[in-house]
Amino acid sequence: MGILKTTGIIRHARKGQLQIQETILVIFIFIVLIMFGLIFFYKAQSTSIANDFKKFELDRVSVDFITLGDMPEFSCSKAGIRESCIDTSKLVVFSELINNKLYKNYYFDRWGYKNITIYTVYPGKNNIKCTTASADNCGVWDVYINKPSKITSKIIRDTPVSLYFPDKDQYAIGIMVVEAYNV
Amino acid sequence: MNKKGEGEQFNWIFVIIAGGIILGFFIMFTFKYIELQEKRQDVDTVRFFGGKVISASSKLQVGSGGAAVDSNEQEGLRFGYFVDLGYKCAGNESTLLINKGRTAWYKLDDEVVFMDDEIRVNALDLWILPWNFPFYVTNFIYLSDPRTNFYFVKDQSTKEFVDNLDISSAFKVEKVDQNILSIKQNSKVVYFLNKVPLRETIIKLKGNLTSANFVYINMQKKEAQFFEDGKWSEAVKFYISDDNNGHLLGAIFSNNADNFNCNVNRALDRTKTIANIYSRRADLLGQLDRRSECHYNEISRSLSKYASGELLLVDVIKNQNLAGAGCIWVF
Amino acid sequence: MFKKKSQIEMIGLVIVVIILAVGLLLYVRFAVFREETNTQDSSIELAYLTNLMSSIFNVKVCESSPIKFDEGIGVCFQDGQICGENACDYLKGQTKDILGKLNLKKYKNYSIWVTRGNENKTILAECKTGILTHTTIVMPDKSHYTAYFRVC
Repeated sequence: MGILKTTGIIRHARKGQLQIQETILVIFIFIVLIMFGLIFFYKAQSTSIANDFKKFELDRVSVDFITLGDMPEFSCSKAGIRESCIDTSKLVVFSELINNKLYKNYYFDRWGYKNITIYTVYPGKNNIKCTTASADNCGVWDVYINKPSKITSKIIRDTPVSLYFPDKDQYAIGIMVVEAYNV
Repeated sequence: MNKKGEGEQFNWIFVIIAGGIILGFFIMFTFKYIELQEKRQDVDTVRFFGGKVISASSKLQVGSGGAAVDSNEQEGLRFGYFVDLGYKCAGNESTLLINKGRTAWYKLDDEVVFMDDEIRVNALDLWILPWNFPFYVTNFIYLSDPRTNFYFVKDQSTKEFVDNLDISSAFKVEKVDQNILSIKQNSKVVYFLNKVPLRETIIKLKGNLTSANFVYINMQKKEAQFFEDGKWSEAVKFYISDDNNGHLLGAIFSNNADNFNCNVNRALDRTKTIANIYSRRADLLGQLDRRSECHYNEISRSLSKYASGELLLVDVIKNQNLAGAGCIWVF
Repeated sequence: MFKKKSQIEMIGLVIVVIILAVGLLLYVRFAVFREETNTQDSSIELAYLTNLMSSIFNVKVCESSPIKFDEGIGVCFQDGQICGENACDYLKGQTKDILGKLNLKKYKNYSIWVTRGNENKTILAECKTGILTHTTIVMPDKSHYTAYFRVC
């Protein structure tokens, strides 16, 4: 009887030990799972933050192009006071100046691979390309043309712009189309 | 029996080590999480500050007096938390750094920002001034810690100039004589004197103050010097015209000779590029409008020289741009 | 009996772990990968709208006695006439003509109105909500008006 009782006690003790060990194992695995989860969470957040910043820089480029007409290279001015329009004579001059290597590099550093073209749409369309010779009767300005030979993707944005013809003191409406290329 | 005791000891050692590792991991994660939130805040800061404030300010059409935003006003620039702002200008590139640029930064294109190279702020005073030299080039953006007190030190020869020097009311400015100058923490002292103050004078004045900057401006030579690393820097030349002292004000808001020099050069490079465009525009206008009284060729030549570096022609060009008898304004 | 008990316990454990894993995944999906509100796009939209407004407001109307559209808005506020017509009605017609020729796919409806102090005059009212921008018009007699332009 004594032996049986001792055996029973021993069996219960072993059972208890087993239970404890099982619990410890469960908790250990649980903690390991949480650790993996936290590491994954940290990596995901870091990537998300880096992507946020990249998106911000991309959006900034878009805003800069929509407001291209505000640059002193293009904006109208009378008596030193700026107006909200694009001076077409500056467009003609710029599109010829950009062929100079020095200026081409300067603006390439700023704009990269892009095509910027302006088309008149109001009061009427005019498909003649603008140069110094045709400046008084034209309607298309190739402001900046820099298309790479290989393109992986492109984004196109357009915006209406106010065009001013200083020789006629007239305003027109144009559409500025920007094609941005990724190489 | 002895082995049983040893077994128990090993058990405890195991528990302590395992527990220590697990606890250590969670503590490390806490610090990493704080770092993560700071990075996110940096991106939010650059989105707000760079994208909305700086970018918008550079394109804003403001009058000749500029536009200022006082941090104490309702629309003032307040971050809600402290941020380390830095400004770095080298070569032809300048960048605004948020918390040393670890996660986020704002690369400036045409924007010209004059500020101290490193400030820790939770708000900013901002002043935007168009820079016409003589035509519009860009908006100069002046930034300052709202806690900064500006002291303009004058003497007999510069008294009139300093008293008439217009600074936006958003900034705290005192115009004093040298002998009554007394500064406190967060001071920017700008000397408008005939001679650069002695190094010992500045060191004595600075005393134990950790946040005090000193600038010397020589109005006759149009040069600025900055007190850095215990001595005056090399003189940096700047350009002003009769009605535009953007560079001079830039010297007041800067505390670093390299940054100031870089900003001056960036502004001048832009000016020369735009001058070239105006020169060619004047030629084109001469072809479209053949009236001899309009003198487009004359201004075109002046602008061409200006574009190649003869910056002293600024006032000449300004006077030539007087559209008379219905002529077209060159700029 | 003991076997069944331990099996039941194992199942319980598995269920707990599965519930935890699902909970974690849901948290990651909604807290970590949530879609951010696109604040930058509104800057682009606003810049586009400002360009459109400037383009329309700069145009000169009425060939017989040309006047800039923005000055015409001031005339409209003063109940004046352009080209022999009520200025506000004339500008409404011109706006529709201009927008028709521009043929912008982005927006279909527009509103233009002008205010000065507490008074306002409407030129075109097709939008109640949408993106709004405004500009200050300074007339030759130095009077100021605020013109609003909304698209939807």
